[in-house]
Amino acid sequence: MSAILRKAKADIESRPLISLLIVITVATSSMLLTLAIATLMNLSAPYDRVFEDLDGAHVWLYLDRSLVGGRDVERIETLPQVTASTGLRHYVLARAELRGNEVPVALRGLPEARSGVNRLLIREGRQPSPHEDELLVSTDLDDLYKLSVGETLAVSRSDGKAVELPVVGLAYNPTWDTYRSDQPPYVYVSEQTLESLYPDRSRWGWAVGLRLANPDSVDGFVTQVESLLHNDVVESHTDWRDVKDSAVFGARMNFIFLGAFGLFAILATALVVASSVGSIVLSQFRQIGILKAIGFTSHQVIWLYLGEYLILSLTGAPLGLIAGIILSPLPLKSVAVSLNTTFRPALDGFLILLVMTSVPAVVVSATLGAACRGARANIIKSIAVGAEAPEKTATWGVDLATRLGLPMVLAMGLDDVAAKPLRSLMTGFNLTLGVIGIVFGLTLNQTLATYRSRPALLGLVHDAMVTRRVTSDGKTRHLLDRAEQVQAYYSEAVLDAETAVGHSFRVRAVEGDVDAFPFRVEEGRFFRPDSYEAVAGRGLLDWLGIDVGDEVTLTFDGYERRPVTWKIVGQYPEPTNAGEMLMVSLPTARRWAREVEPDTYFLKLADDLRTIGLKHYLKDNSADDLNLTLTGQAIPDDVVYLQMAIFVLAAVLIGIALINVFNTSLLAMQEKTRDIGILKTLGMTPAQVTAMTNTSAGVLGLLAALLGVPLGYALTQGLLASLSHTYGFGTVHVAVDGLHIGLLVPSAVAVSVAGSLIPGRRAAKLSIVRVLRGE
Amino acid sequence: MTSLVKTEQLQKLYRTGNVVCEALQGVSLDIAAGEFVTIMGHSGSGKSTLLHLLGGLDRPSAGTVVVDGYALHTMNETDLARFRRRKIGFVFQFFNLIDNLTVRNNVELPGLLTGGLGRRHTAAVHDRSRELLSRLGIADQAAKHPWELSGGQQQRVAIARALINEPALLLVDEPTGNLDSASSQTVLDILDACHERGQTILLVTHDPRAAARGERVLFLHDGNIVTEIFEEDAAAVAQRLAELE
Repeated sequence: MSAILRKAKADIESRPLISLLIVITVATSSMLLTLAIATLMNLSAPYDRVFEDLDGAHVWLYLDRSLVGGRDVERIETLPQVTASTGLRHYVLARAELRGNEVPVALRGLPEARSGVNRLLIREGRQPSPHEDELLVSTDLDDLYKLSVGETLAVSRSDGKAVELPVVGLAYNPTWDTYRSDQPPYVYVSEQTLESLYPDRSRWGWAVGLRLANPDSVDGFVTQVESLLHNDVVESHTDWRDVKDSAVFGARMNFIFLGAFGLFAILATALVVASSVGSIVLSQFRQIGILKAIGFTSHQVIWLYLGEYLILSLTGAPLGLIAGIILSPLPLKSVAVSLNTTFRPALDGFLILLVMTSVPAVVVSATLGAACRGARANIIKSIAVGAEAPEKTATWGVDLATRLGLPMVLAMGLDDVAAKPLRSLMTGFNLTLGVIGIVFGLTLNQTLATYRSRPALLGLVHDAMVTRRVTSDGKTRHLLDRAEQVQAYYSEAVLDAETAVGHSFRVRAVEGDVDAFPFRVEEGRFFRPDSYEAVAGRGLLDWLGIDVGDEVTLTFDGYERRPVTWKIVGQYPEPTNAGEMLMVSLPTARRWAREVEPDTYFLKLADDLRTIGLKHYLKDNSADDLNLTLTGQAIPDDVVYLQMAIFVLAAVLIGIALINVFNTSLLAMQEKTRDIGILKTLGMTPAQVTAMTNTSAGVLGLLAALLGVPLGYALTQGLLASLSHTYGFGTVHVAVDGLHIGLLVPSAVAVSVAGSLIPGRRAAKLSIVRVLRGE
Repeated sequence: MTSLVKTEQLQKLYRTGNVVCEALQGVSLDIAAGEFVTIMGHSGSGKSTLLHLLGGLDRPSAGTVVVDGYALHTMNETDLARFRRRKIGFVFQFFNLIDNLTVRNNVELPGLLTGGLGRRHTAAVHDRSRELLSRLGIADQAAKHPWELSGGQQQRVAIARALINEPALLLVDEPTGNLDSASSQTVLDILDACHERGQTILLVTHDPRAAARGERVLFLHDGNIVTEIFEEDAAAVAQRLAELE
């Protein structure tokens, strides 16, 4: 063993640069693997910690005032599953003026006696004083409108007038999120302030937050409450698991991409090691022959190479592990920041064990093939010829170049690619992984740009939206009909529906000039007005297990509970509620949900620049009731950061590929020292030697680009389709920028050639005399 | 006759750490065009170093070396490569063929390296290689790879490759050192035939029988030319070599 270790150490020391690059490659893949695993293991940890710190409610029940009294709330709180309660909380749906936009908010009363359940996380400032008219604003509003403590906010009061109140704090509520929420963002006030703004207590909504003995029994618990009190007593509820899913959404996306790139990096490392050790074995054939001649067994030769690479991987893996642990808070940062906390994953023995065993195992496996090949070397031939017995290798490169009249130098370079097909394949595939990463980033970039420029693809078919509260539907229509900026509009009422088996979802009931809007129907067609036809989001179809052409029977909550059957004639991209929405004709729906009136109007505008005039026109004619909101930016910031992360990860892969090209070229040069010496003797100039080396690398880069572009595109399409399916969005239209992809081909060639520059120069400087003397 | 190779006070030093080895100690030499000169000497006498300097494979530490009008001691790496390609043909003891090229491609390689891109140039190189392979009796081996040939055949391929660009000077280093006697005889006959066609040859060898093929034999000892003899038989050459001990 001592002899093996001594020789392994000598080998590593004699190739310091290659050894260093292998260590860097192993460290990089270990780091990405550590990041991916740490992210997966701690996906929800920041949320869980904050949720438990604040004693978050597992369920919030929003109760129908007409069906419950104070005693009923107490009955709910004393159900056996309930371990703690916030007590009855009051809220009023109101409006707030934020940066020129009037947005719906829920004014939530903070009781003087604070409950221990579902405490708020004060991110900045403080709680409102019980006897002062002050506001504590939800962090969701801050994220959207960048509020700061000390500002004043205009909130509507019962008479519709706005009242300016100071913002004294920003707070995070552990059971509210923008996704799946039926509630508008919260603005907290003292009960006294709520009363001064809305003196009529009968207009106050009732809610109660509860902690459950079994946090996963939310659905059963809601059913039990309804059976205890009244079927429709719970107007809506918030499930803490939905909030958690939403909170960790960004981190989950980070994990998916980190995991994918981590696996790519490990694969790339295996390729780097395999091609590197393959070349080293070839270049050391004479040495192997000598070692066997002096008594090394075949197994000892295998252990020699396994040992060398085990030492390198056991050097690189801990470095990557440490780097990964240091960087591990980054993928979870967005979650932690949104929770006003910092989070550093704890050192985990399993993680350390996994990285420290899996990466070296991959490296050793990649070494095994070439090591065995070396072990099989014939002693006499190895010592005499100094190379593996030649095989009949292809010379198509030379033949092709000769036929094409290409210079011999290029032909020789081309022939190098063909002469060692396995090594070329491994280096080429490594480059391909890098190209795939870049294509992934570019395609995602272009797809996002396309969706930004065409919001209709996201299901956002309108330019602006008008909401009403007290103004009648008729008057709203009248105003919109007379507004010259409004080219077309349709109105919408959202209804809660439930199937016979208890699936609850929401229904968009629309009427008006729907044809003027570019609704995209991914499958089937749009419904006909006044018919029992409907279009559905992909999420709803998947959830209910039905498809276009099928029928769905439902009842509308709060109306006559007569079932009505809709035939689904199409599927459209529904951006909200995980695609779990149905869209139907309002006049038809009205037959089953009498007196339902639309409260939202979607507009197609003639000229965006004149929207301020339209805004004033609507406000002035509706006593400040009608509120106009323009369609906002459709792509969330998280996705943009993710996109940047993908480019960084792709650059890491390209870096590994560069190391592989460098290693392969350098080792190929060492392996071909004799041939290069002969070629130089025959008159090959230094420039021609460099060109020959670069040609091999360039050809590999070209092949990698030609293969990587379609593969990268297919991977992006597959991954986005899978994500889209998961989130119920439907078909994703993956877009490609031809120019960028076109430029990627020469770039891949350039990167590959760059990796071979130094080895090429070394080959060019090779001393012929030293080669000939070495014979 | 015109001088093809001329060296004056040619010196070559090798340094290994602080140790300096003087491989050539001021060799002055003149070889006329069309001459067949052999160089003999014991191991370490400087034979191969002299061959490398004459072929432009290495640069002298001092002195001058001019081959066919080219002052090699003044030329850079690229110019030396071009010079070797056009003016020198090398034949080595271990053949030094490229394993993954066929015999034909090995022979044509220096011709195609000259950079001509046109089909006419390629065709001319091809014709020349066919003629050479035929002349050397290995035309039927053209599609084979080097490892499929015997040592004698491989050396003939190496000679064909050396002659493909019609070099001014053929430098031959121990051509029979790795061959059996029959193959050695064939290779030496080929060199004779080349000389008869007017080829200037400088042959480095240990073998007195091979050395005797030359018109002039130079004896190298400790980096100096110590003596030269003309048109002697192998026994006389061996006698002179023994005297150098």
